[in-house]
Amino acid sequence: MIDNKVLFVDDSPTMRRIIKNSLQKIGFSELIEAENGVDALDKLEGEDVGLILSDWNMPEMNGKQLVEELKSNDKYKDIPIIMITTRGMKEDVITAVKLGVAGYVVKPFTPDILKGKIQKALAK
Amino acid sequence: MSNDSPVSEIFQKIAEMQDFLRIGDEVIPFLGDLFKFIQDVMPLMSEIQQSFTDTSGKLPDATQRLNDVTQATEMATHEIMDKLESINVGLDKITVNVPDDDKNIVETLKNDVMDITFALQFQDITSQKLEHANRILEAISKKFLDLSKNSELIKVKTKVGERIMHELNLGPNPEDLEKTSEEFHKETEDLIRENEDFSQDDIDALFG
Repeated sequence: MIDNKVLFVDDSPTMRRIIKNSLQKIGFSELIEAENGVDALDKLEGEDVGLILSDWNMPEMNGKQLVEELKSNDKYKDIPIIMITTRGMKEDVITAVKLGVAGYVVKPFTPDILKGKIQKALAK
Repeated sequence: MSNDSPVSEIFQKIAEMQDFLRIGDEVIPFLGDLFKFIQDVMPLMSEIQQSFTDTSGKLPDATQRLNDVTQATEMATHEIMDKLESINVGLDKITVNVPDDDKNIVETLKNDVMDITFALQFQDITSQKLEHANRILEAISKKFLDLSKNSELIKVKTKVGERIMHELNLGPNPEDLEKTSEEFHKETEDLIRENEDFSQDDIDALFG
């Protein structure tokens, strides 16, 4: 089991279930799921989260806005964030890099790709 | 006889009438052509107007159908996931009793189950594409409505325009055509732009 508590954010129930299965297989036991950026910020309150996986396109608060919120908050700015999204444009990836995300995964992805990105993000 | 005499005034009036008639000779055929053109164009404009109305009416239905597709695929995907999870539980149970030589078979089956689970990402990906299509349809629907409203501008300018628009049975409230056109392009361009791809390898290169 891996000690880090992981928050994963996606508005698609299908994707949340896939990511949850994948994280459990990798060895994470403490998982928190959120439907969008607003929900994620609510659920982060009082939690000691070591990794965040977030979709980009979401209602209410999208992934980019969530990353901006987290990076501007001293409490959360050091938590590694991996974007998992269908947005595969160079412009979007560069935006994410500038915002300080630790990894960027384009859907559809394989278990190995996700595992590799998580290992890399936690090693930084 | 001075130039201002009644006779010379009469000659002057005659000359003016000749000029007017000469202009009239040129203008009347043109007006005839113009009215004939309007007559020809009217049925086409009516047809276009009817198409706007018909299409605008059908777009919300198309949007709803796309939403239904998303819901149906989501439900089906979750049913498949339930079955896959059930298979996984079964595989975990039988692993204990399987001879060591066959344990790799069970492990392969578990990996296959995981691969199938990940392949179900198609549901999220297609639903996002349908969502993009929906937003384009909504933008087109809004554009049609704006066009209908903007065509009313003709009505307030000329009597002929008023008659034509009356025939076409258009509603009031003219809007700023240029503004709505820009909005339409902005909305649809942004949506279409999202379809351009950048590979995972290219992305990884950016992260070093």
